[in-house]
Amino acid sequence: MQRIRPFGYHEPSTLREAAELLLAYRENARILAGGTDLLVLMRRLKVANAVLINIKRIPGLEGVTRHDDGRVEIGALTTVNILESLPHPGCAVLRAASRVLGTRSVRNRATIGGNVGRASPASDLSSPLITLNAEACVYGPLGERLVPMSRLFLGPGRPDLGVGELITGFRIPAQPEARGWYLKAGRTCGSDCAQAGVAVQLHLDGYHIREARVSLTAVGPTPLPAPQTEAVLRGALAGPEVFAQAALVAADEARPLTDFRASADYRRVLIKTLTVAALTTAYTGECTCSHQA
Amino acid sequence: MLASGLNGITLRVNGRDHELAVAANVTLLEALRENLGLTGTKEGCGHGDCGACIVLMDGHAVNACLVLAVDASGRDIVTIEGLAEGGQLHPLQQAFLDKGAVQCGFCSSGMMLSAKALLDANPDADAELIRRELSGVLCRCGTYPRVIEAVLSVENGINRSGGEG
Repeated sequence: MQRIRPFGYHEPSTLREAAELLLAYRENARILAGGTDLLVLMRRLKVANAVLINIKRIPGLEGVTRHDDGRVEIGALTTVNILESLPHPGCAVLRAASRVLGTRSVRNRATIGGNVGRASPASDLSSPLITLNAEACVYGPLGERLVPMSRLFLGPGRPDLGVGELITGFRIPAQPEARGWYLKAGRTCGSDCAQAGVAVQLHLDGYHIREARVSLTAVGPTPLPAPQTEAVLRGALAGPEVFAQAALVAADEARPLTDFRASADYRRVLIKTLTVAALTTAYTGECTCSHQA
Repeated sequence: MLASGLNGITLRVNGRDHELAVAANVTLLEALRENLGLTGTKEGCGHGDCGACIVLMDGHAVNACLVLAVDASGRDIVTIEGLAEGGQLHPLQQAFLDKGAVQCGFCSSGMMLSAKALLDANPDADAELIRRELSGVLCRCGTYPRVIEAVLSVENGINRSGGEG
């Protein structure tokens, strides 16, 4: 087995120290959170001259806080296994995504901050956070700021962060009367990245969809908000007809590429199928079956 | 960090503390196998895909190839060598033997430790849940049905098939 080449290594104990290290090492600096992705890249020699900044000694970056008004805050170092049982009715979409990310041993280690901060188009947690209107909490040399998840990504591997900035957590607004779900398809039920995924969040007013949020995974350069699909759903009477109509628009709105996991055409078909299934499950209630897609 | 560029760490493995000096690029898997000689933890893909290197860290299954040794410092590690107690096989080990769930054995430590973490948290896990929770361990011999059978036979911490095989 290829060993991981030597790298620079730091364990800052405060956010300020972390930001200073990020500023000092610039493009060579890599944040080490769970390591389930970064250490694979390091072993594959895709990261040269790396300086790892292990942020796990910084207190306060872990855990889920639910406020009385329904807002939820999730620390960047919260591991995915914790999110699998997120005790929040409006966050089913994030719960569902957490359950299908990687394998048990990966979920025990992988963090929400790493999954999002890596800015992979196949990030399973980013699309759900987009549909929850979540904001990323960003700390940097100029202080703290909030970035809407729908605007966090510039391209593959490129989060919209300045030099010295890092993600410290996520804020999810209250989701009253909302129902959501996440479905993905992969080559196997195990550890593979998504070929395509769909996150949906429906805000209902009786049988009517007052507001809808849809975001697509692994079918564009970034996790992809789907405003045209949302427009089809908004104001409609929930049911199979509008779900089918929305799925056609979602397939059209996807911008898939062909790679070794799937062809672009197949990805569009998957988006159509997954959109109907995700909308149906979201509307009719949380799926109790353990396997998806 | 020590002056040598090495990091002083304490690895608590199977209830025993070990003081080690390791470089930052040494994985927990390498520290276990090479520094401590605990070769029951297997070296497979190195990418977190195969599960051969799974150990328990504070009770949770993790891929030892994706954990830096410096990050495992102070954590409670259990490897396959830590399952048997006082010369008695752990019920899971006995069940794997009884059900013939071991062929070449390369995946067995990952399978058994994953199963231990599952049963410790969920003693009544059904076959479907066992399949899902063990899906991160690949067996190229195809012993999966017998593995499921073995784990099912140990539910509630009791090896219900004990001694039969």
